[in-house]
Amino acid sequence: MIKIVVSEDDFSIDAEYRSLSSNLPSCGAVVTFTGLVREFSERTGVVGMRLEHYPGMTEKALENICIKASERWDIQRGTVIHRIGDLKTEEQIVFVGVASAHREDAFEACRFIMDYLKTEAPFWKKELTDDGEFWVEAREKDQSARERWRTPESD
Amino acid sequence: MIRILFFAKIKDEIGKDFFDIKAEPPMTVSEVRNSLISEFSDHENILKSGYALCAVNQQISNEDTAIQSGDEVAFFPPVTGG
Repeated sequence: MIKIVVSEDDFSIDAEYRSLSSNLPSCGAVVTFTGLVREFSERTGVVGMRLEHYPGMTEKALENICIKASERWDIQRGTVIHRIGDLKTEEQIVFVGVASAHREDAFEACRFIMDYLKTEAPFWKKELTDDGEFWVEAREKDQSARERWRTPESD
Repeated sequence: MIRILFFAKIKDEIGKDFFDIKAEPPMTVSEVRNSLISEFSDHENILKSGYALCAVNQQISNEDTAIQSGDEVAFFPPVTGG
């Protein structure tokens, strides 16, 4: 069971954890990841960021990433939440949670989903600073994080 | 006619969220890209292959992907979510 949410609204890690683990006696592990808005540029005076996305394609891309993960690991439930709109530093921006019978599957699948989300899901960050707004450029590091999951069978 | 959607930096710099190419499909992504570059030559750096990604019917495509009549086509920068 996969749950995908793209929304301006914040989320509760506790509520998401419970929906991943409750009424699932065969579940032995839940791994969750939460990403936060941070001041990551060299610019000073960052007050927050604006998240733009491609409605329709975003949800499809996230779903496809989860399907790819479930083909490689034993996933019982998965949740991906990504926020859009204006966010301030320290706010939650992204959540990935995976429930599985075993921890290895949950750890690996969670990381895989996050690495693919970074390079395949059509979201774009714009930094809001005291001096104006600046689009964030993609980083090579994210591409190489995704590359390490490639297998001869994968795309 | 093929309608091209723009997102993020490409939308901002070109100043439009879509543009209609006056050509009849089928066309390849590469042909559409060249047509956009000749239309918006000041913005070649953000439209060229190696920077702008192209999605056809909401799936990332490659330069040889064929675009048919009625397809949804979008050009956008490398993604930066998460």
